[in-house]
Amino acid sequence: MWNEVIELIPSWGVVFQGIMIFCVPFFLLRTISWAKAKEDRITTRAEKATGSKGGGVSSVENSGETGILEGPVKQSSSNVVTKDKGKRITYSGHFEDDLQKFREISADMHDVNVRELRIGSIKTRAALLYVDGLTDKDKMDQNILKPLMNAYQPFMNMNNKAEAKDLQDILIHEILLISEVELTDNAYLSLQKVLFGSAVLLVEGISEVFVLSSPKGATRGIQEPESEAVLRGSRSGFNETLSDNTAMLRRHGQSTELAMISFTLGKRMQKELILTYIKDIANDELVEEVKRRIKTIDIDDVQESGYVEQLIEDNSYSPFQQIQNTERPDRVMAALLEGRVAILIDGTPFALIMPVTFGMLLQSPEDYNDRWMVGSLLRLLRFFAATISLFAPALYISFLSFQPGLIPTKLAISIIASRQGVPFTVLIEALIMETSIEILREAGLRLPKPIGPAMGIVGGLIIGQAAVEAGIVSPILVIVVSITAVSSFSMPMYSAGMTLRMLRFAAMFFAAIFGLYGVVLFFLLLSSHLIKLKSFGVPYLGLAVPNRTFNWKDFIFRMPLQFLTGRPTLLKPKDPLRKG
Amino acid sequence: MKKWRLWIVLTVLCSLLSGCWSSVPIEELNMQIGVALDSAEESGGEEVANPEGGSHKKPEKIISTYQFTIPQGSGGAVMKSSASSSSSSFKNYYNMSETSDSIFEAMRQLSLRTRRTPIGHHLKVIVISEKLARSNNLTKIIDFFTRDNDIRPSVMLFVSKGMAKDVLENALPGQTPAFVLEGIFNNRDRNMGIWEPVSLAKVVGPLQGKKSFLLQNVIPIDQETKLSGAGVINGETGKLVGFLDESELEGMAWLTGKGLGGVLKTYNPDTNDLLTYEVKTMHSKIKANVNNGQISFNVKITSTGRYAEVFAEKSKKLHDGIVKKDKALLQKRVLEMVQTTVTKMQKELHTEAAGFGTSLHNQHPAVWRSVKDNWDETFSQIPITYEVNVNIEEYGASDTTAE
Amino acid sequence: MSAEVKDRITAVQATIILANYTIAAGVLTLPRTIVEASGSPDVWISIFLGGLISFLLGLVIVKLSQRFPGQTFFQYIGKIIGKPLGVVLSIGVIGYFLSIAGFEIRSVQEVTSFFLLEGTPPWAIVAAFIWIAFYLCRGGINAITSMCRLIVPITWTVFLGVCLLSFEVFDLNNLLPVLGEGMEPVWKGIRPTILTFTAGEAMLFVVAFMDKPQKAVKVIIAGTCISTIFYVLAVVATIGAFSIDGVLTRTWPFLDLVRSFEVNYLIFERFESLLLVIWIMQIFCTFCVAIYAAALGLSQIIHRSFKSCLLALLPVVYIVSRIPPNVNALFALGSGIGDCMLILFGVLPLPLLIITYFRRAAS
Repeated sequence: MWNEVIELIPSWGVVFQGIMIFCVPFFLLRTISWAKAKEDRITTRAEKATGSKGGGVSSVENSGETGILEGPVKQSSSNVVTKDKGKRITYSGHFEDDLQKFREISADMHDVNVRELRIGSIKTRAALLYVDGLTDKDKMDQNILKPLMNAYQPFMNMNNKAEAKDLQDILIHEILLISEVELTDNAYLSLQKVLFGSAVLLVEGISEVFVLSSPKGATRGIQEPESEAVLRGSRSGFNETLSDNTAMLRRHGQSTELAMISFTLGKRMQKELILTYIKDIANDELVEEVKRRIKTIDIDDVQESGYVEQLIEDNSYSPFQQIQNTERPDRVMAALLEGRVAILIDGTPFALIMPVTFGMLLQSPEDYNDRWMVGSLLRLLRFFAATISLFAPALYISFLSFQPGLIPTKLAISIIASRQGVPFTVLIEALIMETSIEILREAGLRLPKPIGPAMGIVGGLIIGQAAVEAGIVSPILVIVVSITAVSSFSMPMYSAGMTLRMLRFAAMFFAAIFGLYGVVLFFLLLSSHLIKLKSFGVPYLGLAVPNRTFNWKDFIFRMPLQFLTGRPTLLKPKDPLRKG
Repeated sequence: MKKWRLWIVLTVLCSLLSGCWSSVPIEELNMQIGVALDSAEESGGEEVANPEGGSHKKPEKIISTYQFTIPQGSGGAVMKSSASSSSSSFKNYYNMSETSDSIFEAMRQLSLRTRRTPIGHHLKVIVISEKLARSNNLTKIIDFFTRDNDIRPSVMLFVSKGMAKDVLENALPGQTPAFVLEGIFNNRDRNMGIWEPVSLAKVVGPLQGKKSFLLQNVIPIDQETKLSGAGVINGETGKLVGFLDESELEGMAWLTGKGLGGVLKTYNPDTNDLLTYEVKTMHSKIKANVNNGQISFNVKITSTGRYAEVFAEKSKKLHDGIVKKDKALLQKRVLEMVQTTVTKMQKELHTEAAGFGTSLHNQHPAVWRSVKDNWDETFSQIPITYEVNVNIEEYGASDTTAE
Repeated sequence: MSAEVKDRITAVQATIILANYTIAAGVLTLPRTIVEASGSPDVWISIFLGGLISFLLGLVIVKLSQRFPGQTFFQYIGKIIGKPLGVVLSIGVIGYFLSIAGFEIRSVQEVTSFFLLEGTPPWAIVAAFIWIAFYLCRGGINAITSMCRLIVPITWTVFLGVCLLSFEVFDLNNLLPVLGEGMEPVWKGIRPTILTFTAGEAMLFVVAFMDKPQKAVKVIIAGTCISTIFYVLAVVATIGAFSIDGVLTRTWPFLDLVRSFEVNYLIFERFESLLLVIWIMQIFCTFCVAIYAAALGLSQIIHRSFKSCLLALLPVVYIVSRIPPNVNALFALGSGIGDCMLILFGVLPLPLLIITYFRRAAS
């Protein structure tokens, strides 16, 4: 009996393997936590931001009244980060000094103009500072210079020079025909504003200067978004000007609940960022969390919304994107009505939507514009195409190298026949073709218009055919690879297509080592990752494994609109029903 | 300080790269599609010298013949063979034979002759020669095939009256014998002489449970193979005991109701005119009756079909009276065929392969328990009555007899 | 460790965990073991009865767990029979879960090595599986639930589809006569059923995570029903195709069932790889639940963090899985685990329940 028990004790080889099984995840975990700790030292993303660290500061909160973006006089907060540390130049009220200060700090900027004038009947000296080309000259002439210089009426009852306070009051409320007026005494801030398109009015005796907004730069008109074309649906997309974009959202429909909160980003080049959501639908905690993360952004300059996306997302090591970007206002509005939150940034037409779940990557707004049968079928097709684009080469490798029994006999015979003489193993062959397709794709993006389409045809057909005839690859592989490439183009979101392209290579490696078992393991690994991924607190795979039955209604099949009565419960919206 | 840990992990993970352990590119595989097993004494001196020098104790050697496909160049890399590249004369299969008393060893002997690894995923047929089946328990012969991981239990079994090897040689140009054999079963609704396809899965049960069954017989004729009758395997011994020829096999089909369609031919006794009936459906129910320990069976056979050919002296319209008479003729013919088959089973072969035992088991389990040990012998004494009912539904597009 | 566990799952999620945990490696071998014990084709009745008994055993455990809401078995056992004895019992339960995990993964490795990957060394197959399970289990019970829910549509569809396709080789005669030999074979067939039908012990800790523990009874009813249906389908289809004599000769009868037919009118002709794929996914879930339970128990006994316990148990599971030297020993391990289960979860919970009643009455 003892002999039997002793036989059961594992040998040293087995124990060693067990130790290896322990070591690999152990060291991996250590490495990851070390990397995370290092990251935490650099950024403040995980910290509770107090607001003064980094660049994001909330300026005035816009309430959602209809009509013009008119606000009361804004007092700009005093903790704006200035470019030079510590130095603060303020205006005193003494005209010559103030003008001199301004001239000094704008010494290198020769496009700044100074227009001196006298105000109306009281003949107070004033100067208007602006940049040629950024300000709307007509408006400036008509609405600022003219009323200022013709200001007799308001001063009729005053004989001597008015008090600074009164003068300021009269100027703002009776003379200046401008909708946005701001007051500041910070010279650098006024320079910033001038350089961004506002006109600044410096008045003798008043220690604060008036910042009058009348920008008119050259902008692109509203065009069809190129990256997300649909057959049926609106054809306007965002453009680079923030005010145009917010205007488009407001014009979508009349509502008093669309909130827009503005932040300023970027230390060197300050840009405005607008956070928008629907007040009585979006979850408060979600909004607070987004605000907190925005405040932790610490960067020189936000060049594109992608920078913001990468700085506020949950998990930057995941291949899947947790924030969606879009150029289409109708997509943004649909997301807002579900209870999501959107971010618009000045200078880029791509808006960010968060939180994102897996199902959204496969949905296109067209699904809702057409009838439910068409929408459901298309969505099913896209889902199927996503699966193919991810697994097809891996399955090809596993069938041909490991499981020839799974293929129908006739197909197997013809595959064997066609693979005679191919010098490479299946994995190498697949890698060669896949890499070539990726290179072709990248090259195709940068080709000038006349050559582009021709190159596509050349690349696809002729090179593939030539490779087959030269005996480098087998014809079946060409078919598989081309089906995969075509399927990956059917993704409605470009970034999702990119993710699948990356993961396809990982799947191929798994398949090359373990065959069909490897594909299964890869699927399990991917699912585990997606299950653990959270986008702003919402599980990523939320709609794919829905808690409640009615969430199923919108995942693969799109039920008729009459049945889509509720919003996704995952977002915990305040108003769970869509109708009324 | 932390970086060396990462290196350890990467090194360990790299060990995974050393493998693609089981990966075998498909073009280096030899696809096995048919196996023929013959007894070695038959051949005339084809004994291949045993490399180990005769340490096998059993005298019986088996010649295993494996049929592999030759991949043709299709599209892509074109194999520029010489003038014989026209597909009509190009064989797309070839056979290799090995002799040994262990089928597994014979298969492995192939690796001394060719680089390509044989795989059995696509194996379709196994043909066993009569001599081998008569002298060996079938369980032993197919043991390797039921145990292997590649070879599926869906492989079909045949017996052959002659050399099984010859069956795998014969095919029309451009066809592969194994595929032909597999495909013939699609014709079951055209001819009752095709028994149901018996796969390994269907055979392990009866062999283990000592039940008798039939295996289709296939013989080479001219340049083709032909299904001709069936071999009867006795459940008790697992060996082949005899054959049913084609008409007896048809009788068996009628008896068990397992036919899917076919021909029933008879002659008018007065005028010797031909009458053929096309079977559309057939059904049989076996009822076991036990009276005071005496077992008897009653078989009820029903069928529906139509007139296929009717010869008659004078062109006549096929009205009810004629139909009735023809019906009686057909029923008589069926009765004859069935009785012939049963007689052969009872008297000559002493084996019951028609499902009588199953019926007794299902209907009178207690009685079955007492007789099941010597069932084949007991069956030989049991009286069987028949009822045949043939329904001629229609007569096709012509409603008169031919003349 | 705090007295209550933090994650919460709903009743539906608990049902799915339970159903997935029960449908495990036994599906492939149950037809053979049950026919070996019983000898008649009426074993499907045995499975129903076995399911009933398993449900009753699970009910006792559920009632026990409901008396200590929010606490897992490892936490309240000490309160019932005292700390030292509680620790011993907990270690027994942890060992049981580890054995289940090792048995499952060894089955996966055996079947994969035989049918899918012939030349691959076993440690590679097992290592990859264990690492991915580790990754998933770190996400807690919510992650495991989501994974189970994710694969449920896939596996159930393929399973049912395969069973329907196997109708081609199905022969009703193989299942007749019903009760031809009386009820005795049915009783004999119950024992192997219970050995494979390990359901109740998952409730030892699942109830602690439920947000509405009073629904736990429904959970166990539903979970046991689902798994019973699956097992019955598998056994009936297999016996119908092979007959009881044939089933006895097959090592992995259900898999051979799928290998024994070919379909000409679909894309795939042969389906066993498909079945193996979903079976591997199913076992993955079972393995995750088992190893989660073991790590949870360990972490609650020695008061360390869950994740480090999980990591520490990985090599142990691997070594357990390598202990059986051959496939007979593997099947013997399976039966041994079943016997342990009967003692640990069949015999023990009832006295424990009674003791809690007395203690409540006393205090």
